[in-house]
Amino acid sequence: MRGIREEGFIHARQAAILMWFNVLPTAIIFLPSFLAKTAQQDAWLAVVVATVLTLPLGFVLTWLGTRFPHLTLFQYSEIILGRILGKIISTLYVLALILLNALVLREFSEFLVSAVMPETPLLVFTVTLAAVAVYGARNGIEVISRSAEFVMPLMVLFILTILSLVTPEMSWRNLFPVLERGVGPVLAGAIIVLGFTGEISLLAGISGFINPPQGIRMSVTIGLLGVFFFLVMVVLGGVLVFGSAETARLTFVVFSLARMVSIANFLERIEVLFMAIWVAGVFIKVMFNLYIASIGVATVMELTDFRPLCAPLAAFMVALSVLLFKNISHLLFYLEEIMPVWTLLWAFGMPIFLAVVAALRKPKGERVNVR
Amino acid sequence: MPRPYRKPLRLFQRQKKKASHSGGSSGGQGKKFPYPPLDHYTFVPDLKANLEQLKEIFLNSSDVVKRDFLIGGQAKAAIIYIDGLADKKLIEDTLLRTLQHVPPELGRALVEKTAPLDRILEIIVPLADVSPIESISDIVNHVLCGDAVLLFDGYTKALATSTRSWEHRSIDEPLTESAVRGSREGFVENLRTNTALIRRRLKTPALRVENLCLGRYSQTNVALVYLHTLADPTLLQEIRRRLERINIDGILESAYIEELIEDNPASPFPQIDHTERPDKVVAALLEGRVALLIDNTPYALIIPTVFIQFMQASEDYYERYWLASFLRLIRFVVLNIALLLPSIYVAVSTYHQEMLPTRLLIRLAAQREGVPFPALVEALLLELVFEVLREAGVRLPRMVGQAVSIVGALVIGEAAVSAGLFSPAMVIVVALTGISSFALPIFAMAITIRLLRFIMLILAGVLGFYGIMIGLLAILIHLTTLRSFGVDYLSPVTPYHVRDFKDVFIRTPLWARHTRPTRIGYRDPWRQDTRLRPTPPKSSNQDPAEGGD
Repeated sequence: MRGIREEGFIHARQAAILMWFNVLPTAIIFLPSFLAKTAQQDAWLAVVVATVLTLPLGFVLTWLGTRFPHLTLFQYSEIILGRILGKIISTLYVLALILLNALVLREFSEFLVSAVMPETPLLVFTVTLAAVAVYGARNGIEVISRSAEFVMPLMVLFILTILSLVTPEMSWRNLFPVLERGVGPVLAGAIIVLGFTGEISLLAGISGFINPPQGIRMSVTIGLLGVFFFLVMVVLGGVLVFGSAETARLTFVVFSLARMVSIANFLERIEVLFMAIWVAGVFIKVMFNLYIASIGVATVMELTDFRPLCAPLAAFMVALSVLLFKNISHLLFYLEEIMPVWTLLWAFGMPIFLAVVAALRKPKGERVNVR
Repeated sequence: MPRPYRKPLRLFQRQKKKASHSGGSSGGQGKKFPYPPLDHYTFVPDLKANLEQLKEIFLNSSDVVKRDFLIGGQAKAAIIYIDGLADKKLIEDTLLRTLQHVPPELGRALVEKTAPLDRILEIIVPLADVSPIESISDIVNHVLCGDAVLLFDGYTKALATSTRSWEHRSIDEPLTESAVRGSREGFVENLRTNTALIRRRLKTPALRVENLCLGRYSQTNVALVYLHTLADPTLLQEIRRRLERINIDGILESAYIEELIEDNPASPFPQIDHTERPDKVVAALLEGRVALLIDNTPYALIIPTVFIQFMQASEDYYERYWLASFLRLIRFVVLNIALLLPSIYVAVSTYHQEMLPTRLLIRLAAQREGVPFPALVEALLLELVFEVLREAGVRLPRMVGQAVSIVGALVIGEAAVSAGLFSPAMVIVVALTGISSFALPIFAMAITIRLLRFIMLILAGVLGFYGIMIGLLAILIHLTTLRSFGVDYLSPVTPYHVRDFKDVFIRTPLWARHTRPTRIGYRDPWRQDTRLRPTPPKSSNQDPAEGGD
């Protein structure tokens, strides 16, 4: 297809890591307390249910990725729906992405302001992070995936370290009784989780760069497994240590877990280190979203280069992030009540819709670009 | 008529015509030797006229020696060489004496041209390495390189005899990369000696030494050294292309070439490694890398270079692998200390005091009591003082350098603290950071880290740990975009090559390192037998009959 100057290729493993980064950084901060609120001690069951519910999306992404190899969502939407409709769908997807990234930027700054540096203006964090993200996104998918590959081990190591260091505080009794109030709360919790896990649908935005295209199956599998494992670990960790009632009251559960760590009465309160690692995780996510939004706009507009779009789009996202939410409770309300529905609409809805139309219409020419 | 105001602009315009001309000429820079070109001089069969021309070319320089003599008392001839570059003893004792005393019949044959010149020269010239030349510019070339050139009356042919021999430093221990164990030989300023040092370690015809000549005035010899069974041909092509681009007046050090051929000229990170150690170059060649040796400098360039090479010292491979792995890990710690320690101190003491245990915090706060600067300013000032002291110690003569370090240690370590200008903790932090940056094995990387430290310090002072993280992320993005001749700078960590991890964070034993680096040595991945692990017999070998299984 026309458009986007991107010569990079990424390995399926790198795509999986990017998926992981798309869900984890924001989810581990906010999800445990939301889940503890709705599903109480069965929070981890909600994650399990949500992962199962995300599987269809994974199948759809895999199917689309292998049926339209070397093409991104913005390109095959035009093949499937025709030029005009395809462009409309792509535009909607990009708008959803911009909104998502504004949301992530706001979550990020709100967390830093309320948990770490209360006297610094919110905008300082938003702007600095967006600026570095522009620098990264301009360098293309290879740079993004490599930096993700570099940061991931640090993040995994840190999460696991924190969880293992708080094991003395854990109590299995916090998990029981299982399904005290039936399946209802678990399902309600699962819907909230879907708001986060649905973001794996961003994989469709880079499916064209995975080499070989069949690798997308592995990306989806490993990515989902990784997301599932760490979400369950973090949610379990929160509930086991604090109990569901306490977890529901805390806003940033993992941060509070890190606060409990004390090594030999010397290395205490390592939550600032956790904050540093977490910043890196959110950074990868923001950079990746920005990149996909840029190539989306470039593809829709049939531009030859996405690079000049990164900075204006980032500026737009920063402005949105400030304008959209009044304060952190407004943000939390949005995350808990509105985002799951909205995510179901665009992150689940669009790829599934495209796949259904593709299966029915059987458009030709999908294998033109196979090298 | 050109407008006058446009003239200054020309200073900044690149001379594109010239550049494309040099690029188009086959053979690159070597053919243009000597510079400026001497095409308008022609070689005539008259000795006197030729000598006049040469006199004009060399502008009567005092180090150019010309001497007329008679071959066998009959044929007029002359010899021309540069005093100091050519071996005077060889010329006087062997060449001139033999030529003057050849039998007169041969001299007469030269005058009367009864036999071809080449035949006669085969008989009379007593040296092995000779080459006939037929143009004035070739004569000038050879003379400038230290050869003695013989000119004969009546012929448009001259003979260059290789008499190159000049004063040079003898092979010495490498000063910047000393090792406890391992070869004590270091490169010297003489290119031939250096190639010989490599050749002595690699006695294989696969070792190729390609010569280039760079620099219009300096005419520096550059040798491209590689194992042609291992080196990537596209890499070699790329190196040649980048070298041929170079059109510069002089090359004085390998750094000139490094700066002109590196991938990202704006990056603070060194993208080409340089070394004084022949064994290090040979190790690189065996991995499939390429070395550039430059005349008049003891530093060889190693291409391509990835980040991890700056964490490796050649001694790692000569010590036991346990120790080497430990040192490798220490170096990563040291790298982080050198880059981040002052920033972390500033961030913790300014923004995140809660991270410290109470007793330590009280102690630090008590020290900072009365210090007139904020932590950031204090750190910046001390770092600056440290850099100044270091610079002074490096540049000054050795005897004065001692005095500087004493003054520095006393003034900074004692007086400034007791005067209450700086807190002792900050002095410790800065000193530790300084020492750490010296513990990095490669100086070029240490400089980069030192430079970045200041940026990180300011970020930490403004935004605390968040600032440090933003700085680190920017550095990470920059590093992932870097490539050295097509090889990613952060490989094998990312892109991820699991087989190459044997030489990254730990140094695996030699018998477990079967393969060359994936991206660089792909032409012949296996470097050794896979069953090299020593398997001595289990039982004690007192009685050889009992040994075995």
